[in-house]
Amino acid sequence: MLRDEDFEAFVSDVVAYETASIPHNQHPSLEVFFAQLAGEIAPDIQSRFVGHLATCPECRARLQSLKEALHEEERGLNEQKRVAGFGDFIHAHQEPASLGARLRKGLRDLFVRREFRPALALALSSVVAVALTLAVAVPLLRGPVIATSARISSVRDQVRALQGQVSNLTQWQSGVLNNSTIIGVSPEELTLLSKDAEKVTDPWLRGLLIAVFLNEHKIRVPEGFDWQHPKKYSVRSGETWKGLSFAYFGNEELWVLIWLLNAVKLSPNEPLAPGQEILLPTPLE
Amino acid sequence: MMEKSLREDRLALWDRLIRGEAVERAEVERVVATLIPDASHEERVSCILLLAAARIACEGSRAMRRKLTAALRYWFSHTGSKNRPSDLDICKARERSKWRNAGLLDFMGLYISWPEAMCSVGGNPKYYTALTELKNNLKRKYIEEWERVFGSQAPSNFTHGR
Repeated sequence: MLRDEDFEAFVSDVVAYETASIPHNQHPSLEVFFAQLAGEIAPDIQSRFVGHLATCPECRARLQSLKEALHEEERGLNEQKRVAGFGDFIHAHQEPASLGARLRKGLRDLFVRREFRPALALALSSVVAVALTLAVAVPLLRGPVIATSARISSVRDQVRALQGQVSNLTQWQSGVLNNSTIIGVSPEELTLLSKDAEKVTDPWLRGLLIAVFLNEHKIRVPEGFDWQHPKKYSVRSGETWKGLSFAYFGNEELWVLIWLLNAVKLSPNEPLAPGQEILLPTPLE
Repeated sequence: MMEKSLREDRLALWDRLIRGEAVERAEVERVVATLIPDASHEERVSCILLLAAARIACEGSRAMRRKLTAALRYWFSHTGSKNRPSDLDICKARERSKWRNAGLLDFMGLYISWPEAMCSVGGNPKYYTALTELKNNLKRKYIEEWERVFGSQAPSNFTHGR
């Protein structure tokens, strides 16, 4: 006979049995995670999602990391919105009109939608994430970092986590980021971007700025490279930004990305000199 | 394989109970009906306990339903790796509303106390006897349901023969 005093232990045993881990061969897609976070998941999918996650510690950890990243992003954006500095900044830098207008439009979309659509926000952040790598790397290379190191460290961790998460989104992004349809970037545009980015002290906002720029030019950051730990490279005779990009990525239009890594010291208008040391992303093993 | 799938189905129902939603008895009966004749003892016990909880969610008073939700949140929060934020304060007035409809995944690993579980359902955190009342009710229904489904005395141990 089940005694009253034993019933709680009995229930605890049942609960432990119900939630015990199960080795899963398949896991929910990232889109399902986004839908869950946005509260827009269909009831039947929600049931399967819960059943899976309750028995899959790996996916629970994934959901948790996405939640934390989203929370951090929203908090950062809300803080920046209160300051309203970035909107003013963009507004004050409308010249040349084409770049300023595009950035303003892109950022308005990002800001407005992010506030109300967490899933979209997170999806957008995946586009931003790759640029954040550069945005974080650049201020670190610049020397004096205005944002706190903790903040940068936090952003870097998010970027690293998100990069892993978003690799599944390649297909989803392909309409937005497709290196076969890159819109060429002129050195003048890059110089302007660099000047603008210098004035933005928050790494996240700098990431947005660069992300919008890259997005507008349909530039996708190639996978398989570590952008946060670039390696030094000594330029050889006759090498150019575009030539290096072609040799490295198989696409000369991606020279912009290499230049961004080196934006501290070098102007995009200046040709590379033999023996000059530049930074290149480190190929991942 | 079959047990794995059934367990995931049950977890979806537990989730709804944890959210404070009503689960139709028929929905749980469908899960019970899928129990194969040689289903393990643990599977049977888990199914019947779920059935008992669903009965309270369907037939219980509003107060008892709230106790059920709190108790399930309390029990299920003590599963999985502990992952309790250092600044978690479920009983803070401003925080309470966001826990109202929280589900299984929100609670797993939080290791909440009974007062916190009561706070999460908008109840009195000092109402300690609520847990005892709920347990008595749940146990009674568990025994009834076991006898109805299997025609034998309800087992007193979760692991058969322990």
